[in-house]
Amino acid sequence: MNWLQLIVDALSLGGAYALVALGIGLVFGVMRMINFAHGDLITLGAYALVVPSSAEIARPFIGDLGVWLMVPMIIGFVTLMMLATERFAFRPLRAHNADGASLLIASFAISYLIQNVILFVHTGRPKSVNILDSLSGYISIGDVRLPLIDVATVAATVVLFAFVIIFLGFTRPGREIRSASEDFLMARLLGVKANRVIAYAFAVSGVLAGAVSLLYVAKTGVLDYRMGVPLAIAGFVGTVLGGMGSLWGAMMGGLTLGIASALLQALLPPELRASRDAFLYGLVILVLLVRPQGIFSSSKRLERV
Amino acid sequence: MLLEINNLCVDYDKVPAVRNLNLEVKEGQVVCIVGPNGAGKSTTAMTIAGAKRATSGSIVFDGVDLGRIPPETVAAHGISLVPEGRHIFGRMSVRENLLVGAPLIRDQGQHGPRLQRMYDLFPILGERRDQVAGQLSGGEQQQLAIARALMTAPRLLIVDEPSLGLAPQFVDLVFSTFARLRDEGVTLLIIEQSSRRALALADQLYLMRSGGIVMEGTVDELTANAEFEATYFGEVTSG
Repeated sequence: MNWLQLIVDALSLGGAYALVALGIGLVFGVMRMINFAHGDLITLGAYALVVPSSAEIARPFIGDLGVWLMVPMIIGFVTLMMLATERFAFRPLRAHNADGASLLIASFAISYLIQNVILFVHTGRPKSVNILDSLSGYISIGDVRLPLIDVATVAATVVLFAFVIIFLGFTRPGREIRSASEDFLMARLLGVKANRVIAYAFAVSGVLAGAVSLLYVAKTGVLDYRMGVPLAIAGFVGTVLGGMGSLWGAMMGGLTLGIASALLQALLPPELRASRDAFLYGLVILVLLVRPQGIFSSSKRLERV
Repeated sequence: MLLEINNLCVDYDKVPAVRNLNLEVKEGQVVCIVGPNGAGKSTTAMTIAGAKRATSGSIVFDGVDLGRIPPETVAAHGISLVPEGRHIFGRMSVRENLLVGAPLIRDQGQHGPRLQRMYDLFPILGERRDQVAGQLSGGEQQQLAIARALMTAPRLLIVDEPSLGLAPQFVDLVFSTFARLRDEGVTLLIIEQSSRRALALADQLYLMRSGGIVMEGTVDELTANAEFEATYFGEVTSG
């Protein structure tokens, strides 16, 4: 395999994992809860591309619209759904002073609820769908042919990171999210509204999840009711790898995991490639044994926790 | 009366931490709560600020009953707490720390001048405005914590153990700032385990022990009292 191709491959997978990890990390920051339903919100966004039906052949719905309509509609839909899970599941639980374990169980419940609703409406058969056909081609650089979708994924990831960095760094809601991520009670003592800052975090998380829905379907062309689960796990592992509670760490942790996964896929002997994830997560365990606080987190932060 | 606390009871981990506490703060006053470690001073401060729930009793601030009001709403009513341990946002810059509380001032045009005012009060914060707050020294962090609370333009500033762990020159600076704030009409509730500086500043003193107020009065009244001498001055270690 050509190195340039491998780099783009690694960055494309790493970028997607980083977007998921950042989405999970944003919510974890303010609520200290891993939202395991994050992956299923990605699934929901993907299924919104096709007409809800149990028919074997998927008919495009939002996926049939022009890219300038489809992208905002899917991202908007996932963001709304994400906010709905916050408003109708997590917020009532928080109002009753539910502890972290109850919130975590609630996120599992939402995850299974979404999966089963999709199972009921669309059946469990994977469906194929083509979106963003214009990205199905290749870019030739010298002798190397790079899949356009991988290049687009890398570009979209860079744009989304820039959006998140600007939002978090230079806007009032962003500042509120960061302050609440560091010390939720202190932020509230300074007037930051708990429900509002949590809704902000869920909204940005939803935007990222919606983007991943589109990128994932554009690359694989397949819908499956459990497609979001491995993404959520990768995102979760990314946040742990990067250092829980650090948004920068979540981003870098996801990126590292994706790059490591792509490298293993390319460099492992062919007979071992099927066990790639065993090697990948074995490496994760090794890394955490050496740096339990995560790669991109200072040891001081762990002491504080 | 700006703040009126009646028969306040608060549990901490199901153990009574504050019992039948009565306390009053008049507008423009500096009131000091002193007492040994574990007396319930910090719990009282956290409860006034809405961070802890009272089991019974009432806290009335300028005619508004603060019972069951969340901390952000208490802050919007004009109470700002500098908790013990400072709790600065270590990964954010000094300027960003200060701006977190700024939206409580509705007039956005006032945010800039208010920020500048904090840099005037604490010049080191102006010099280090773009530095990550976690890199500041303990004394600088305490200044930041106080300035950040003042950014909300509070009517009552509650400061919990402002001199704890500070070098003497920082204690001087912090208390001279309090004196300046008092002269400008800011109402202050200062909580200290033991500090002569706090006594020098206070209009009214409350001595707290085992979750309740055991003595109250002006500084002159209390320092003339032998029991106060024994329980308080016997433990003076700083300030």
